[in-house]
Amino acid sequence: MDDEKPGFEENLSRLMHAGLPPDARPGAETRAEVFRRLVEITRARADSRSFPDHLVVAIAAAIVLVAAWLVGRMAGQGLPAAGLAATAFVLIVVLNLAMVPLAGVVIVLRRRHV
Amino acid sequence: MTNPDRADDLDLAARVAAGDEQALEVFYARYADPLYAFIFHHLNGGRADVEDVWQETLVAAVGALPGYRGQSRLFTWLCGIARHKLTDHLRRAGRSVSLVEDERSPDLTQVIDLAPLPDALLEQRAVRVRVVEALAMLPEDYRAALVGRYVEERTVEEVAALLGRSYKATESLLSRARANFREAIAEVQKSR
Repeated sequence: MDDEKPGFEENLSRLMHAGLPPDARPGAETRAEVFRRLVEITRARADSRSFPDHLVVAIAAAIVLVAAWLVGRMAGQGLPAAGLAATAFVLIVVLNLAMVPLAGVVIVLRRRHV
Repeated sequence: MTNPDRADDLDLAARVAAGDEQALEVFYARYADPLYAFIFHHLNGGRADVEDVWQETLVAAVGALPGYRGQSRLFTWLCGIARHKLTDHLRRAGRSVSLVEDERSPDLTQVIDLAPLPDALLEQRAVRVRVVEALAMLPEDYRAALVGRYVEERTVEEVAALLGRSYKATESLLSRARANFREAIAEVQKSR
């Protein structure tokens, strides 16, 4: 450059030697190994994303239907007739199932966000 | 200025996050070595330690790339992750946690034309880290030209052969790269 001062190039060289001494670089083997690891991480993430969104939603919807059917049957029989332990068990199962569609929605939203 | 800007960084981060392996190669070629040098200066050498922290940082960074929103340059963002990993590493090793950011350093934009630069200044970790950060901001051809010419001490002809350019084009590239490096140093200094 025309506006470079006389000592600039020499100083640049010394600065770069200070910033990048020979041992401030990874060894070739380590460099390749770390890259392979990053490729694996990237592939694993891509694989998890390859499960289609509509399938996630369909599975969640099917689970909601099963949960609704279970609740319907329980209501039809009458809670007292089912017994307390059985009622509690069914409620826990239904609550767990109810979380699945919520998780499905969160997964889909997170994917869209990324 | 032709430096990779935040739009480039965002695009690159999004492509890596989406599983694009070619983008990962670009990301690695652009940032892995400067990141290593950044960590090296913080730890004052110690290859095994540097490699551990470097690897941990890169793995964490690739995992966190979907969350990169371009709030800072990608290399600055990577350095932020590296600082966390360095702090963890130093704590685990029972060493005092003193990062380069805590050290005072002269304004390089003021002294870069002083001839010659004092040796004491070049030994400061903060100065070395600034140089690494500035180099990481440059486009790859500028960085390759500067490293070839001034670190590996190749002749202009050799750098030209390495980059597959004519002598004249390489001289011109080196000239632009030097000017860009000066601007990058100023930008790094301003961000402190």
